[in-house]
Amino acid sequence: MAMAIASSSSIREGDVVIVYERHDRMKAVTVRKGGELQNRFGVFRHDDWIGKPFGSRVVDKKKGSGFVYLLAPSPVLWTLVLSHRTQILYLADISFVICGLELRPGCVVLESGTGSGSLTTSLARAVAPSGHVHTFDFHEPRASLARKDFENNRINNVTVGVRDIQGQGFPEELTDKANAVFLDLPQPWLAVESVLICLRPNASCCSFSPCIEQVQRTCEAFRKYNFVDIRTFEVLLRSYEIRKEFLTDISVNNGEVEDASLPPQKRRRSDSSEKPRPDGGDAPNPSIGAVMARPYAETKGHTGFLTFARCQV
Amino acid sequence: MEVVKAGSCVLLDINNGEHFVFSRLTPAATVKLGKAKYSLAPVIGCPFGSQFEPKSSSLERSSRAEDNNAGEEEEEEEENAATKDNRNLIDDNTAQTLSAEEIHSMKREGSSGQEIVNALIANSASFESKTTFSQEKYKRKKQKKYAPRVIIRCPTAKSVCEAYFSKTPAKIGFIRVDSLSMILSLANVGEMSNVLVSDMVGGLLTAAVAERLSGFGTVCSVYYTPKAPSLDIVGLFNFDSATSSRIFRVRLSTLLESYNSGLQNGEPAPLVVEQEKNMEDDSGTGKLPQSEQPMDVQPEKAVTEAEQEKDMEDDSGTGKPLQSNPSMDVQPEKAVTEASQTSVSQISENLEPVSTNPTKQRLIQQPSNEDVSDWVKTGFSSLIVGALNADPLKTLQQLLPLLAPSAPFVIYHTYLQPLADCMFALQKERTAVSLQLSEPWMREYQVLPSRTHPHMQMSSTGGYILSGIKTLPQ
Repeated sequence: MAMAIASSSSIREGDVVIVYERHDRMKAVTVRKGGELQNRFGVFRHDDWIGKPFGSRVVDKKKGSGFVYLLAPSPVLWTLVLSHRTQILYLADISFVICGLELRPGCVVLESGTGSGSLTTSLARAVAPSGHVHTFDFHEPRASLARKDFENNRINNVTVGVRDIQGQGFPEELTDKANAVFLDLPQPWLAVESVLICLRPNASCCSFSPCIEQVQRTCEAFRKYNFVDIRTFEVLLRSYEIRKEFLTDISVNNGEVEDASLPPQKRRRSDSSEKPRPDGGDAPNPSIGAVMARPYAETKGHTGFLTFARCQV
Repeated sequence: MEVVKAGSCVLLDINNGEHFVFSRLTPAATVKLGKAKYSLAPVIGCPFGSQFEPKSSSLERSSRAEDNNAGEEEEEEEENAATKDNRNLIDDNTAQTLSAEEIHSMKREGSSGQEIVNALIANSASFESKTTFSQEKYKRKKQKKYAPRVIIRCPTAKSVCEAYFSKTPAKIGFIRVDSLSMILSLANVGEMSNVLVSDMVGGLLTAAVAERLSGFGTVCSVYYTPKAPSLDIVGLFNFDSATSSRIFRVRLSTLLESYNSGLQNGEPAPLVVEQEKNMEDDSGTGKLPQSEQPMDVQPEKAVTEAEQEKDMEDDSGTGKPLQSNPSMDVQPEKAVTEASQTSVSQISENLEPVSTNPTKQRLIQQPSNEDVSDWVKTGFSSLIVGALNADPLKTLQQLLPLLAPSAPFVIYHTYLQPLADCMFALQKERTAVSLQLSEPWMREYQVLPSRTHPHMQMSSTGGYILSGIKTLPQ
């Protein structure tokens, strides 16, 4: 599977490379002889990449000053760069689902809907090489695009089917085959009976729904079909930014110190403070510098509720 | 693993999350429910997920169907909800007319727990006037006390983490299950991974990685203290030989020496291990130092009540009064008395032969010289650090050179500041990209008809995670 470790090998033609500009600007590029990538930093020729190890920094040809990093693809990076055909699941939910469904190599997982394949990619890696993901979407073009993505990323343990799971349930041949099932459907309660048929004893199902009413109806269905260990969660990730900040020490100079927030020209001069200004300007400013962390001002408030339920033995 | 095998380790979930016990199913293994001990022999051969209840003096399998009796009454709720409330309830302990002595005599006469619960309900003056929801809650409360149940769970990264986090979180460095899941994803653990782990959290990280690899990759647990830290949690997972053959433990100095000699010679060098200044013999002459004995599947010794409380007091560190939760304990493997020897011979006729030497299979391997030089030559494919006493920046500065370029690394810590300082230094050094400092947040909900709300109790922190990707040094 390509999203296994490519980092010990060099970049070859046909590889998918994650071109990293900034922590929030990355792009997946398939390497082609003669290919070119143009961005704000310049022009980058694919031919220069071939033979280099993943993790290399490459410089642009035009100005010689812009650079990008070429990173090996992984399900985590793929989720950040993939093209959104639908709303996708992000890392916090993805990782919680995989752990909550107790996935490991060899497991057979069923999923519906495939959507943009964000979770599917992570599921495939979690059960590789001996396990398999059967994923279904009722939208034929989407299923087709997902198949192309998996092929391009050399993921070979996923089967994409076009099927309306809410209406028809999972295919009969999957009866009693699933070690786990994941549902991301508008009306997941309609699929619970089929889930029960597919799940092996003591195996779990996870349903993702943005709305609490959906969750309530799903839990009702789980109870009706005698699932146990029915638990609903929300998970989020709060990200922090860090900066070196200088905070004014007002204890010096009899309580008269420079206002660090004013620009240099507007500050009054004073000789009696002890510490030099961090920017080396004229007026002394007593300050204490340290690396500080604070949450980013913007954060996700909600993605969806994750409900887990286990099939009785 | 779907069926419980003799000699394996199980997680006993008593009263659905109230109390957890890890137990190795030797013939003498027992579980304490309420005030009595019951043999765990009936559990062997049953599927994971089975529930057992005491019936007279032994455990009997029971169905979990009543767990969901809320489902049957969903339509009734609408009618009853408006008519009952607690305005006339006075909490002066006079509502229950069944006395403690009467309960005792019922027990002596062999009444089942459920019969006692039913008797309590029948003799409760206030029961009828309660709302249906309130009645359910009352029933569950009495059942927990008089009719305890145990569910036999399979030890997995999720179940083990949740059990430890709920009772003795300090032992796993306060890693909550969502944090653990993030760490595993960010480190891209999976097929063909070669994961370097600095595990000072009892072996939880090593075990969780090993479970995700199931033998299709390698996990190498590195340590830098004179005595190797405990990785006992690995022993709880019932790993087969395919998986445990790929779990290694190695000294940091060993890896660094191989790396340094590779640098000098420009090629992978044969491993040269310096003699330790203390008595431990690390030189590969065949004798293992004490700390590197094959990993016994020895559970933590069962501690007495007093010791348990002391452990918990040490862990809390806040001076706040502790809740009287029972602590995590493990059945001792070797507690075979005269009496149980006899019962062993009686029981064993019906069982598959129990392995008499549970330590036969090594759980954690020592790498060969070739292993080490291979790893150092290609570089590990990712790094996970869970070492609360180690400075994150210094740790990374030692371990990043051992990673392959484009390898992800993940450092977990309970404090934010050390990770912030580390991230700042990494940004300046330009040895990594995609740096992210995150705090996982998790909340559980109760979803029941007309009673849907977040749980009243919540964990306030699952620690912090710094992640990034190593770039090729320029």
